[in-house]
Amino acid sequence: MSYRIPIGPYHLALEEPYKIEVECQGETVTGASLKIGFNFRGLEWLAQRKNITQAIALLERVCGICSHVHSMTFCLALEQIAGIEIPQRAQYVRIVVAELERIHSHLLWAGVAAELIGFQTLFMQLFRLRERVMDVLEAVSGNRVNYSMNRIGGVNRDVDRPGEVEAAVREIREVVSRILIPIVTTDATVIARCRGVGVLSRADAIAYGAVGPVARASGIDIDLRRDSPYLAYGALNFAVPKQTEGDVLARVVVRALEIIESCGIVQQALQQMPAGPLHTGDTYFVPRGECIARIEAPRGELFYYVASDGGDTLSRVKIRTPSFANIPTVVAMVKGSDLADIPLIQAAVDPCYSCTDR
Amino acid sequence: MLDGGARFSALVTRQLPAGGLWLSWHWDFTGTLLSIETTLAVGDLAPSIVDLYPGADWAEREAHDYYAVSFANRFSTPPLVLREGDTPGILLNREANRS
Repeated sequence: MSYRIPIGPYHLALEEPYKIEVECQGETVTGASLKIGFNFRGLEWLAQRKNITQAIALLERVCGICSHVHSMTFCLALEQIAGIEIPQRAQYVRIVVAELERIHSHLLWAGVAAELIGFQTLFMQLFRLRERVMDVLEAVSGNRVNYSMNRIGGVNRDVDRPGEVEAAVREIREVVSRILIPIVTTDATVIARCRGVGVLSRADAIAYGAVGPVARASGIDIDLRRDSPYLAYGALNFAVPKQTEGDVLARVVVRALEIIESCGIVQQALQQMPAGPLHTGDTYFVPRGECIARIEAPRGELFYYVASDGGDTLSRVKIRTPSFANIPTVVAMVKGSDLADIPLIQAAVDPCYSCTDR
Repeated sequence: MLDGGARFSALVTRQLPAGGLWLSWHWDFTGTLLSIETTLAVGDLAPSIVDLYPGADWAEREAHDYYAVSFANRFSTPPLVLREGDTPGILLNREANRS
């Protein structure tokens, strides 16, 4: 017997409002359709009505988890239009915060996944570590979210206590290596729950335009930090973890390995960071011009298009978030899966609906 | 491009000062951005690429929500972030269109 089940927009299986309607044959999902827009805030419209200083603060609020990368990408676009080269030290400070943010994002996601899998102890361990990262981000920036580090031409604050950051990163690396990675690669419960579930083939990942860990778990070897380096990433050594299975387990493993790589990037950045200024001075206007800026956010490629006509406000601000690219892949992932696996499959995309709706 | 592994990245739409629309499609190919752009009068049909790239569906629906762009060869273009029945084109400068 076939039937249709609406899930959401407000539902226990969903972290944020969003709707998925699944078509089932018995317990097997045969198709799905998605509906978004429940968090729509009109941020592009708003960004085109604020001056550029206000727009930095506004765009940092696109996402509550990866806030830094939004203001950073926006500033990168404006700096390119204005021909501003930011100081070396500012580049490294941006990298440190961006990688701490990635660690935070991946730990949060791994904790949510552990809870969905039914692994409460792991969930608590990971959330304890997440607190550690948030404490460090607070020590660096004064804020646990929306760090306000970016300005046009550099950063607002320095990393004053690099030893504190390095100690936290060492601890995270040790715990993730000792607990998270062995569990996700060898534990029978995790493997039974995640292997072969929610498979996204490489061909579907390309056709849907998947990005970040979702794409890398389907065998697509992409990472803008390596492929199109920005800031000082070109001077840092790191691997890009990749899996080929395309299932939930592959996405779990990719993110766990990425935490280790990000810890290494933070350590290198702290060691290589040269002395020098943090910014190039106050900039309130940018000349006429347009620019595309892309960076590797925790969830994948973040795309900004910015156009200026030289006035107080920008003539166009276009934001394509990684979740906007990744969430549609759920349609391909759920086909043929068990109805009961839908919450886990959706969570494995690490969707951010606020980012998606903007 | 699909066979070569180029991944659809984004569709950017912008209103031109004269009132027409500028559309730019972007693909990522191993870190390099490949772009195709065109200009349209408001109300003209843009080509749809959803049959090749299903990932472009939301991008096209968003362009319809924001700039009322209609796409050829689409069965329908339901709102993405707007509600059913809302007037599309929320980023259009309607004064410019009237002049």
